[in-house]
Amino acid sequence: MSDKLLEVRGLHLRFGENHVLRGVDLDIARGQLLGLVGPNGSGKTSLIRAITGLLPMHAGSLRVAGNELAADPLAARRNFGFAPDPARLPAALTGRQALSVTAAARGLADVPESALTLCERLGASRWLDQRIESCSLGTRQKFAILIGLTGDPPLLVLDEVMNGLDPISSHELKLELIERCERGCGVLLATHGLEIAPTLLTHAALLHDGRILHRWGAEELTAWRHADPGAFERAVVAALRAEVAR
Amino acid sequence: MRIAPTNPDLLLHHYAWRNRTALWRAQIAESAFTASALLAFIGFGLWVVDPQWTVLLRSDASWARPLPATLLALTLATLLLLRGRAQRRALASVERNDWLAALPIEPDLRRQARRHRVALATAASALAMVAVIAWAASRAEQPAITLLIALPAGAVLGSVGVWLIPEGRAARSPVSRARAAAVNIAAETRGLELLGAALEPAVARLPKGAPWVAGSFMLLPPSTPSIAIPGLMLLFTAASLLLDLIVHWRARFLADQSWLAAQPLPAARLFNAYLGALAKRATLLSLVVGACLHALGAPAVFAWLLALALWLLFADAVLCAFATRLTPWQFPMLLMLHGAALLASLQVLPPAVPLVLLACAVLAWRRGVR
Repeated sequence: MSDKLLEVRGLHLRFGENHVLRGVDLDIARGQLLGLVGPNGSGKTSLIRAITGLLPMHAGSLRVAGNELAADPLAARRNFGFAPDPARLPAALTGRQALSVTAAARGLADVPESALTLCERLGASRWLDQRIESCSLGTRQKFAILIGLTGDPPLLVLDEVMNGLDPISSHELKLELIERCERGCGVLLATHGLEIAPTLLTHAALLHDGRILHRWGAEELTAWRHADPGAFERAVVAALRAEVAR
Repeated sequence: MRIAPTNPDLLLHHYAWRNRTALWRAQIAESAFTASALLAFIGFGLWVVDPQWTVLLRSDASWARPLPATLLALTLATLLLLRGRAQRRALASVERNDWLAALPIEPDLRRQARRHRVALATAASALAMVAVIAWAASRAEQPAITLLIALPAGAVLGSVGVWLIPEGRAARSPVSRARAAAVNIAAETRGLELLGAALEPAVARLPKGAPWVAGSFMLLPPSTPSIAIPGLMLLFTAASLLLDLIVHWRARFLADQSWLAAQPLPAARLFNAYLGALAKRATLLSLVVGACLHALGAPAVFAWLLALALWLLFADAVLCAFATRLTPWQFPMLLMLHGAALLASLQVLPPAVPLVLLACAVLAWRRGVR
């Protein structure tokens, strides 16, 4: 099995004349938790949507666990889990029913016990049999995360999933992501929460104006984690200011 | 919880349907009332068109001869086919971006689910048509056998065709359609006026409801002079356009109300923001209707009274939407109640109609501002 869970090469994406991604290269190996940071409108969500096949790319290649997304989307999709936008969840279904549909889509006979355990840890169990439309934003976010994690896919693609989570669920989610990475999964996490980087991320990439502006490796992040937890935030701001000044 | 490994889309709709019926059972009184109102409305519609069946299904009519009847059947089948195909393509377009889009589901499974859903809906329409034709046959004197065979055959052929035809290419995605519908608003427009200004240009893309006008000739009594038919069709068309305008505005109004809910904005002020755009279009349409009716030969007073009635009915429907702004699901019911009250007063005491209309409007307004 390939060690690379995600390989993105020269990814271009545009909406009409507006070039949103301009040749993005990105790799995620097993055990890596890569944080994708960047200012608003830098292309983070578009990159995530292109990786999950929700937006068609105009140039470049994209492999998930060795499977070319364009050539074999089904094989690629079996190897990643994506937490959908909570606003797009089926309002008329209960959380349990949405998980049940997700399980069926992944060819599972039942909602896996691991999903229900995680649901308990995230504090969403009491809402599991409520219709999604009657749930709060935070609870919907939890169901979206559970949908992404159902079936234990090797790669997780998560876009701003910490939004709306209470402190306990946020903590439990971080623990879950770290545990999964230790078991050999990979995670791509788009986030604005720079404060979580030192404790959670193993790698980070700064996206600006559709390009990867800077990358930070495991050594730098580990060193900052112990010596100066605020250093990552300062490094991101400095890189962005330097780019704006150019 | 056990789930049968099955098509995820069908499973989703199975759950949604189960939840909906559970909700109906949970709100039994409201469900019963809505069902009764619906049945009463259908009953009223059947009563209104009852004298028409004999005319429409008479065996000596030119359309009851074998060739025209066959053409009618083929037209019906084609319409059902085209509608089914368009629905499947629209569903495919929505599904490209829905919450299941990133899951590993075989495209064939999703295609099958779309086919299943649309074919089921078409079969239900066809069944309703066959039921109406059977009812009509029982009410008409000496109905034409050719029509009684051709029309149900067309409906059945259409629904079978929807199951069999390929889907074709998906329609443009809702995202690109939304972008295409983006409008330019005059730079000097400010504040709440923007809400009404945003409403206006998008309305030009309507009407979606106009096709039902084609069937409205059934509402005309058999004794209707042929000279009056164009005028009445004009009225129906205008009513359909105004109904589309209300549907479109109401969706915007509810959405705007939702995102402005935390602002210190009285409901009446928000409502007023749209009135200019609504009144402009309704007045224009009513004037066109009045002028056309007069041009078709109707006496001036009669033509302008009808145009005024159309405008007032539109205003009442808008007020119904305002009245149910916090309970939007009650809008159709309130509209039906107002319609029933007006029709009843028209039948029993026509001079009281303006008073009844005024009472309905005042009550709706007071409920809206509450």
